[in-house]
Amino acid sequence: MFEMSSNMLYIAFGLYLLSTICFAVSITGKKFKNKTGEERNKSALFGYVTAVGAVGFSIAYMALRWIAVGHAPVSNMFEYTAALGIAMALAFVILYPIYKNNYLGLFTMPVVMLIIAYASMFPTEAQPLIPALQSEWLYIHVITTVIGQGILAIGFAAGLLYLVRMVDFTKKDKKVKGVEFIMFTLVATVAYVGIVGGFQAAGYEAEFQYINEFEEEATIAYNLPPLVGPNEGELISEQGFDPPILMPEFIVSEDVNTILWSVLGGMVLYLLLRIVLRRPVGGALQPLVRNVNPQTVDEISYRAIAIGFPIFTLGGLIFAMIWAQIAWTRFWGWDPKEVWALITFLFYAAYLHLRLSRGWQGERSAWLCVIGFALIMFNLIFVNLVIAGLHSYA
Amino acid sequence: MDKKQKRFWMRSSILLVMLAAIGYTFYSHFSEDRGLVDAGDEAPDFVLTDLDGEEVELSDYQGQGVYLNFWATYCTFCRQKMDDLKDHYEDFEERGVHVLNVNVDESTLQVERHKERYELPYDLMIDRDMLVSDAYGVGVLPTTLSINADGEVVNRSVGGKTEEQLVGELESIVPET
Amino acid sequence: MKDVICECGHKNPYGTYLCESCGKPLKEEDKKVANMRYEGVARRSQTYSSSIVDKVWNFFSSVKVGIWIIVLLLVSSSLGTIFPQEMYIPPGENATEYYAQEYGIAGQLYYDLGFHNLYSSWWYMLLIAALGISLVIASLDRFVPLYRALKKQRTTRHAAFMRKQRLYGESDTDDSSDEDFDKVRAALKKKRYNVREENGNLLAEKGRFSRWGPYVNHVGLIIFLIGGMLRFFPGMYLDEQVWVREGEREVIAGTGGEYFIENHEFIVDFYDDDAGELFQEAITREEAPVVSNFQTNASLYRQPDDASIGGESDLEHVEDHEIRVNDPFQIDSISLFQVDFKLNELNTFSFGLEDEEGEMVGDVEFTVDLNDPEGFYEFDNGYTIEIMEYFPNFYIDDNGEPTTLNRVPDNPRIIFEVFPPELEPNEDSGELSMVGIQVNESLNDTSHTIRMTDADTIDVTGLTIRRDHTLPIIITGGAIFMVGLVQGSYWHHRRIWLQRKDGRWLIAGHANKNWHALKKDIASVTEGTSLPEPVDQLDSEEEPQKDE
Repeated sequence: MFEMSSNMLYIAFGLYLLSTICFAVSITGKKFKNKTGEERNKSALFGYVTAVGAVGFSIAYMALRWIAVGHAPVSNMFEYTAALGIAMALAFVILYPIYKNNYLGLFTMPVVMLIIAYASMFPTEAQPLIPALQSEWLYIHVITTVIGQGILAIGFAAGLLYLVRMVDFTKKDKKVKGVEFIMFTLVATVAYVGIVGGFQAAGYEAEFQYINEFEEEATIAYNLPPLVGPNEGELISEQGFDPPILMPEFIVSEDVNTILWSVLGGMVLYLLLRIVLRRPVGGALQPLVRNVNPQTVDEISYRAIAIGFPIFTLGGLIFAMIWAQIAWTRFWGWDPKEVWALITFLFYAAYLHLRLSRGWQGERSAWLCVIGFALIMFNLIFVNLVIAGLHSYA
Repeated sequence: MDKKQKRFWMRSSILLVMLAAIGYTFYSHFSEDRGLVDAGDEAPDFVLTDLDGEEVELSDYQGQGVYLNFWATYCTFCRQKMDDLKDHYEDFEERGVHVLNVNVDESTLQVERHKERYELPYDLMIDRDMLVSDAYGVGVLPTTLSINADGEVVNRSVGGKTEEQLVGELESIVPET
Repeated sequence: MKDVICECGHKNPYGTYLCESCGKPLKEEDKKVANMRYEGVARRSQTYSSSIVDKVWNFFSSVKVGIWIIVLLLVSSSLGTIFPQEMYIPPGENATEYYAQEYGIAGQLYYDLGFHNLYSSWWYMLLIAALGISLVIASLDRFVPLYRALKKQRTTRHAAFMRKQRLYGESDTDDSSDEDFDKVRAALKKKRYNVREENGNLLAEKGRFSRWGPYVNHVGLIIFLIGGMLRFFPGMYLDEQVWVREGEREVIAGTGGEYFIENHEFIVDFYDDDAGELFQEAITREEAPVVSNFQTNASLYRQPDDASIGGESDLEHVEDHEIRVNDPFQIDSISLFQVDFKLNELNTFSFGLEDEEGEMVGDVEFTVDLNDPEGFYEFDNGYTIEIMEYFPNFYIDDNGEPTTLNRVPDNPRIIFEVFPPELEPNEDSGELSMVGIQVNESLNDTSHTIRMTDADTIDVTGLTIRRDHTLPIIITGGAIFMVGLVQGSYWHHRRIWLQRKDGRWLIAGHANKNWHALKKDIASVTEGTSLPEPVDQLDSEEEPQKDE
């Protein structure tokens, strides 16, 4: 059962890829209309159908895993992050019939794939639940939150689409740099997945003996070649080499090493792209999205946020408070994760007020959508992995 | 009343209500920890047994002052205070002020040995399960409540105090004759 | 500050952009599309600012100020997560040193700025208070005029109003215009629009109640904040901890000695091999065993009503409950939560006595209850052992005197005085020795040695006692907030105006959001009629020319 659920996710991943390709074809491919003016290029329809199929397989993955492990598969970093990708795809599948916007598919599906691929870099095996998580509120709270965030993420995709469509890439101003930074982040994530996934598959491990922050001897295993080593580190495994730089004891050198690899890999990929394209990456995408109606995309992003915000609030704050009251005796305790959920809430609340009352539409609104998504990812990754708190289960 | 005046009063009263609510919240949050029982409150009645097994009830001392002192063997300021009390308690006893030293639920042996070790001449009581301490909202030791002849708390003092302060507190609850 | 009289005869308050009744723009603006925010009515705050009260009021009424408060709250909240708050630093650590020690200069600065208690600092609370005031005033200021405007709107709007709508179209009417008009009206009604007619003009409206969504959710938020404020009022909120040893009974603080809790057994379960193959990989990855359950089997007792505080009386058994994480014990308004535990706390020591030759003295065997030791232990063979001093948690204080840190037997030391048969306990002084864990010192000439023969431990459960009378208010506020949020987000206010003026069709549409649906609605109701297709005037505004 467990293995089957993993296979479902693989199939879904393949379908997401197929869907991306279909949407790309529907945009770049020739328009052939028959005599009655009916569109005969069916690839958009194929794209949507495969997306629906992919979501179906994704839900099958979740259901099977739920049955296999006995609890909702949203209890650790892999499960949650994968669920976020799936929720985003689900939101797309629901929103597409309203606007029939193929460009949105072209921008959403790759982000979905990237999120799921990123998720699979975390340990994917089944984990037992600690007592604090043993509650039906686990899935009520987390699944509602993840659906809300998935819909908000559509706001990001539409916002990004808007920016790529509207920013003038012939200039070299802050806007271009901003869009390029988003592109770089996406590329660096691809690099991270590629590098970590590659070395994982190859079974790479370099082990060091080092002095930790308590001034004790300890060992640490790297799954990537060591660009930086731990404090007073000495290689003790066969694989690996002596790193050129050693980190001081208060820094987790392995994390620095991973980040370094991702940034460097991202830089190499990005530079390659620039060389091949001979212009900013966003600028290279712009001709593809020439036919996009900015008003429509702006409205899609706004609607995504207007729909996602109440769901996120319900799951991420209201249900969260109810569960916290039951499990931790108080509905609010200023735990970092709680605070960042509040910050996300406040941010989108500010977005809505700016949009409704101060007329921040179009480009400014698109930037806010991007920042909002950055906040969601920050809360997911940084707060969980770096700022320790009650939510650090992964 | 014209429109403008009406609006002024309307706005002023809404602002005032909000300001009062916020002001009170700030006051109760930032003012020093208020005990459950504080100056001005009536002292809740209680029954305790002393080391000889005799029951002592607060209401027995109606018409007299009661100096209610919560303490523990491991509390340094309590030791200081109880040492100072040695010199004064008899004097005040004659003037109608009773000192009740209430230990916060330590073992009988410890309290007995403490009494011997520091040669404490007065009675000691043990508050089993800390019922009395909880009723009086005792958190930090020593906490002392000065109760006057009418059974009203006139002062709640927390932490170490000098001998002068101690005597002052005792003086404040000497019943008028 | 005079009222403005529109040409339709309606009297508008000063500051109105669009006539409340007919919609004619009262101020010249060169924009193509009218600003429909709050229907163009005069926000009360903008109108006058004569006294201080008005100035304060206007300050908080501004959405700009509101957004600034939100942003400030957002930024300052994030500051509090840089390092842990004081309540999350390891227990027993002293905040004055902890931050500097752990995080260096940045940590010291963090502490000095008071960020270790950021969320209860005066300025953070002031920000939340400002948010609350802004919510009240801004909502009041907008709700009333908006309500008036929507109530008073006329079916026939001024042509200038129509022309300034984002969706607008016009064309010549033809012979079939009456027929088309009826067709459209029927189609609108079918789409559940609320249709009004006046002099052959039409206003179709749908989803107006969604306009109240923001005000409903603001009211919810205000109630929620009031609930939060009430926590600071005496008696509303109780937060206590109680430690109960297995087999013992403790009073539940805050109940005035009415309730007692007994711990029959404390249980910790771990995921082990029985958990199945599935979790094996994850369990072996963890260095420590993974806990599957914390549980206290507890009973609740109640003191009969007539007893006074501290008085001894029999307790009545009320109820049993297995307290687990996620499954608290609820009694009246009080809840008991499983939050902590201590395994193997020392409970009793058993001792024997050894004479000079190292032989155990027969019959001299005794057990000391570390939570309630006895003073004397007398034996048939004439030996007497007295406990001279007992320190449950021994340490040497600043004056060099032995004392105890608290009453928990974590590091018990006992000073024994041994009186062999030849000594008289009341007159002579006996042999003194101090005994503790791995400690056995004689303090004077001793010929006997006390030997610890056994130590018994016990598990202790840590429960949080919580009573929160603010919860019903918080829940009400949260529920109202959610209702308002859904009401304002998932329904949309749409209006379509249709007029025949001087032989021309005028059609205009306005939606507060989701223009897409409005456009579709208009397209569908005008299908097969001679009515013009309205254009989105923003499309042409932003992109004057587009070559395809």
